Amino acid sequence: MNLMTVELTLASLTKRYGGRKILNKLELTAAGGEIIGVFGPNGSGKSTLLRCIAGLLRPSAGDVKLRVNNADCSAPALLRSMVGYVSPELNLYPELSARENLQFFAAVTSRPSKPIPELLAHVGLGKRLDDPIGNYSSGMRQRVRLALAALHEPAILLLDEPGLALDEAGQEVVLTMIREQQKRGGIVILATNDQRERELVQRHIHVG
Amino acid sequence: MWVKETLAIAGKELRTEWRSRVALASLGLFVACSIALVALSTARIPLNGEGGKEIGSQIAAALIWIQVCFASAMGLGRAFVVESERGTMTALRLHTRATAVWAGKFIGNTLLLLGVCVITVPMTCGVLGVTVKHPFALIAVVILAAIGMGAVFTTTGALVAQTSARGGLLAALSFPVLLPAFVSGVDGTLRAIGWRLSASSAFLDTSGGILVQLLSYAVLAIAASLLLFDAIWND
Amino acid sequence: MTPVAKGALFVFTAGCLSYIFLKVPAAQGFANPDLARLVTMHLPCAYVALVAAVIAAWHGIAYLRKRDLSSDIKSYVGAKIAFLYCFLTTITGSMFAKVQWGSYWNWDPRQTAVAVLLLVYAAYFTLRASIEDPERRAALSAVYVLFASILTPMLGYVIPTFFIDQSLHPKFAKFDLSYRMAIYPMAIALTWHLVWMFRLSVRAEKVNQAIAELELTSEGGMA
Repeated sequence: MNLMTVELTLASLTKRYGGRKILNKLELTAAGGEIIGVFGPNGSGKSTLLRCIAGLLRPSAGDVKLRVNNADCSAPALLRSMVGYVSPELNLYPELSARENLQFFAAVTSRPSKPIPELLAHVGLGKRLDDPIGNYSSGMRQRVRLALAALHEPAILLLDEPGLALDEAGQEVVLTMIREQQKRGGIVILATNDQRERELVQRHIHVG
Repeated sequence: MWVKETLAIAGKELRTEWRSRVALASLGLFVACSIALVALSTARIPLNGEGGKEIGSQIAAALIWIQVCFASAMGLGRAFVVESERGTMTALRLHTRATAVWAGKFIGNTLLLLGVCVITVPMTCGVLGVTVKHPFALIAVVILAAIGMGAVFTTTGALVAQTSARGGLLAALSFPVLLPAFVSGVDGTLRAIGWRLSASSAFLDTSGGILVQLLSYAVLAIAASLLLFDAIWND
Repeated sequence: MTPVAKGALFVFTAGCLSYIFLKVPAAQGFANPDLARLVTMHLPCAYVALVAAVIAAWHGIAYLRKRDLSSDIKSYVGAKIAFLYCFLTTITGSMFAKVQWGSYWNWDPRQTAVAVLLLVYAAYFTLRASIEDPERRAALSAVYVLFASILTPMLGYVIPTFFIDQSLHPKFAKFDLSYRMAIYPMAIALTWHLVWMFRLSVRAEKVNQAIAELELTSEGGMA
């Protein structure tokens, strides 16, 4: 998708779980081309924040506002279609191969998607494209997650520990993806403890 | 577009199920066991002669739908629970529209439910020595009831998948809501088998109302699900 | 509710009950004409159960539209009251069935429908207990209460009215004036009780949640 302008605003975003406040009145404004880090110890709510931005979790109070090319995309359903989300809690169908998985998601999504062979070549899965994902190593699965996140050229790339289980070459794929998203004029939100990924971050919010 | 997405989801359901065969195997075993239990227990009831035949057809109508209900609670509710347990729910939620997911899962579930009926109905009738007087009426009753029940189990299955309770809760949530279809299904099966109907009387004259009941239940269940599923899918 | 209103409610209810016990005549044509007076309790209970069920569904819709958690509390309280009155309807109905027709339970369609509603609300409370996230709990409970509200009237209203000729319940009941004089005021009294209970429970539920939140915050503060 052609990204002219992307604006993300978090306005006093709060999430409670049974009375416990995980996120407390977070504020953030980000524009296209920015790389925002989300830092904080384990269990501090980094993933909760990313799930709220992705439209997967409804905030207890406050708003997630997204404008893409001056159109309001803040409704949860629209928000979800605008983000690429990489997270250890997101899995693909183990009975299907990497190619079949991506073909399936390309068929069900309402947005135009990139050519699948190109996506798969980009994340470097080699010759095992047609094996069921259930037989993959965890690093290879992470590469398929990265390919899925790039499927429909998202306005926001939400990366939750993207380097997890990846080898040197795999981590390079992540860094390239972040730089490309920045070049396209999209936003990257990165929750990580990896030093090399942190170096790309321009500014960060602290949770917990 | 919506139809294409729906069919893609239904196709994915059938393909993943065919490759793993988890639901198919457990449902098949469940149906086999329940029919064996029906055969074993009813062998102790004398069902010969005219009076016996009548009792046999009454028992058959009840047992068919009890078996179908429990088989569905075990097999169909899994459609969404599996997605949530394996973490594929997140990927699905990010890329699909709510109503297309519901419709795709509904198609998969209803086909599975009809598969259960195709085995359970004739086998139970056979075991109990029931001759069906209006086979087409029976087929209509089974199809309409399966559509209504498939819709209910798809929606309650999606509800349960978002909770921490899962298994036991599905039956508790579904059965009270299912009861209208269950009652009409038993009534319709009784009439189609020919209980208290002379062989000559047409099914539709005496029992067409039951088909209307089943049809309106199915339509209501589908409409209510499509209306409410957005809220399940967005939270 | 002010003390005066509470007093008025007490006097009104007592008046209704006195009228039922002292003035309503025995109904001829029943196996036990004296105990036919039970119907003056049974009918208002069923009516209040219906009102409470509508309240639960109404606030369910309100939650899904506005996403305000206080709607969720109202829907929950409505369901609790509906459960209570479904229970009372079942009890009074069973007593009536026993003295008039000799059996507590007859699987009459309306009887079955009330039993099903009891099961629906029991399932609803279990559903609530199994979801931790308050926003998700509110949305999913609203969905279930609405789903059940759309589908269970099939059993209690549509089938008995349009498809079944023989039922223990009259399709369109015709009561004598003396019975109507008991049933309508009793229904008003019970509705008044419903309003009182509803407002009290909503307040109590809100206080409970505020306390839970305070406790958790102070724990967090000490850690």
